[in-house]
Amino acid sequence: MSDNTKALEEPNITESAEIGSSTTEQTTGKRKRLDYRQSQQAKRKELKTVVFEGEGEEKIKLPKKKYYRQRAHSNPFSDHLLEYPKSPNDMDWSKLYPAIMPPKSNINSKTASPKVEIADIGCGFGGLLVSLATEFPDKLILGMEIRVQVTQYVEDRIIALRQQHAASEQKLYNNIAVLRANAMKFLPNFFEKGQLSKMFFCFPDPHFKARKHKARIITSTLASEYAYLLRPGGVVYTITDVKDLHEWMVKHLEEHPMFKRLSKEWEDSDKCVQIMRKDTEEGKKVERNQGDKFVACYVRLEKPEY
Amino acid sequence: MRHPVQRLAYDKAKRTVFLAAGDKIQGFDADTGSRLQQWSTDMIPRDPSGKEQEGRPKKKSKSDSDKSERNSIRTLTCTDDGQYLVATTDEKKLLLVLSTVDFSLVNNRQFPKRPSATAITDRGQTILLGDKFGDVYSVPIVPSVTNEEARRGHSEVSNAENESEYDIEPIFGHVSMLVDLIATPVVDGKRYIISGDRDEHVRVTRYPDACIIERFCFGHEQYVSQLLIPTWSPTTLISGGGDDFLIRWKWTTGELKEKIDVKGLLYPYKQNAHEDNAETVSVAGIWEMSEFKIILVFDDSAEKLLTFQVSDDINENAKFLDMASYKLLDLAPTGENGEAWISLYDNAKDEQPLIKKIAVSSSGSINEVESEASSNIDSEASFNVSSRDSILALHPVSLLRKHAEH
Repeated sequence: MSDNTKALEEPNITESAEIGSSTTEQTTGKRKRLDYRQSQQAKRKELKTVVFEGEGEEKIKLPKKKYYRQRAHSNPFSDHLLEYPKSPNDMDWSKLYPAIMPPKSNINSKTASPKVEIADIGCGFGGLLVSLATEFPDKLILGMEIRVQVTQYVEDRIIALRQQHAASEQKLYNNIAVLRANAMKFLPNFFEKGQLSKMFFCFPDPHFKARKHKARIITSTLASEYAYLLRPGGVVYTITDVKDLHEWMVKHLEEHPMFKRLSKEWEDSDKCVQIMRKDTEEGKKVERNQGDKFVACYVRLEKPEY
Repeated sequence: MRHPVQRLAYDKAKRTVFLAAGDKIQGFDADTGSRLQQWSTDMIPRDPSGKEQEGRPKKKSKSDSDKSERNSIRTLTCTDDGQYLVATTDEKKLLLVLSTVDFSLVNNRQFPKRPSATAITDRGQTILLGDKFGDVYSVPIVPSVTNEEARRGHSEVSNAENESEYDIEPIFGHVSMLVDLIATPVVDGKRYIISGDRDEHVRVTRYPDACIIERFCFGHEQYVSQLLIPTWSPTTLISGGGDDFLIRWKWTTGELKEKIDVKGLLYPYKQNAHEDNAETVSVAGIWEMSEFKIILVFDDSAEKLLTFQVSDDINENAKFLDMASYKLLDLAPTGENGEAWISLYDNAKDEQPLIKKIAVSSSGSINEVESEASSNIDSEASFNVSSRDSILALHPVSLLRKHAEH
């Protein structure tokens, strides 16, 4: 935990962690990956908070996913070295949305500045985020991802996209950003009660073993937290290719008094559902393998008076 | 040598002191110091279905078998009406309810994860139990027979590896070890549960509609281990843990009223010196002396018991009164004349008093009260163990401090 400047610093890429005792061939591969990521890191540090003007500049290349691969699982209960604000009030969003948000110190408390309204929890390589950026150009959208390297890939991708579109009229992609975060623990540190209108849970880790079920991103206890963060009428979107997990998510949301499932007709007419099916990395993979995709969307109900 | 008393409870109605040491509980008459009852977790009848043994294959114990059979008592509370003792155990993850009249076991159930905090609500009818993984369950003090039978019938057919091994669902949960839990008094006809975790969260949840989170109280930067709502100021919440300060909140709005400095009191000469790990605050207990509107705070790192005046006017700052040195394990106020029973342990000594009585004056000074009753209790408390190895790990609260991996 720290102040907000620190929130955007990142751990250095260390050689010792990368290059262990392995064959020469593997070592060369690792060396290459390391070099690539180090040069990207230097660039990222410099460009992350830059507002691109886009006059006659050379286009920044999109990052290559193969250099950022990381084991798919992460234990949400372990004490990661995470940076997160003490409370939603302590968060400086201008570092994430430099073209849109004024620096925190300049904010006049009387004037309302825009707030993040859409969250993609476990955004992975950012496919959904990128599509949502153009679908909702006037909304702030945040992706959250617990894996360091995957988060860095998305950061680099957003930097490249912002710069590439800086000359265009709409200046796209300034409304999306990504954060490394443990969403299961710290969502309420980032968002106020009722701040969000949409939350996406796309192809989450299935945690197959019964003993690990509490690590699943949708549980009845976490659903209460999502209900706290969503405004009445806000929507939880879920999609998975694992039938068991789909049934689990449906069961837990169904039982929750603050959520009501949206109909098949609603799903078919909703743009986000289409994007979620087609534009997430996992969605594409499942498409290639001709697997099933299970969708369930729930609307946050009005809270009963107390 | 004797096993230290890791938990204390006091029954105001019958004037009985309960001591929990290792896996034993003993009850004493507070006026004469004579021993009334004794109970041990050995006395729990074995589950006739043998589920416990058949469940997961038992891990081979690295040390002696004596340790693996242990079932240490980790929390102990007496209901306000003095009818029941509520305890939880570590190794077997049990919630136990004993009748204070004859020490008969009226409720005994196993939980999926190790219980770490309990609170009693619904006028003494319901136990709220929080566990090491942050889930909170609601359990009736006395189980209804039909439910219990249904549960047993159900569990026989269920697969032990299956989640239905435990039919109970949490009413809410954190994703972090739950360290303290309190049920609030009724304010404007509404009731809540306040819970604190090993991350810095203090959460206010509606009750009984526990699926609705009312708010978070933001301000802690370290684990939260102790929560107290003083009886004389029902909208005040005092919280403490690994931070250098306590926080005084108006919990009904979430407003942080005051950070009460503790570090400066404990380490007055090194306030601005370099960070020293040995000088971190670890609040292991907060209790009230309602007769004087005083709270007692125990810091485990400096081994100091501090007293503060807390006004019933929420806009008035708390005032530090006094402190005394104790190697305290637990404290149980009697609710009379500022008196409290305390349990002590100094691991450098073989022979030492386990139990003492103290009295806090209206000005906050802490004095020991010598009486026949307290010396009787101390000498009658027979928790003999063969060696130091048989003493359970007392888990100082400072272990809750996070050490990030990556």
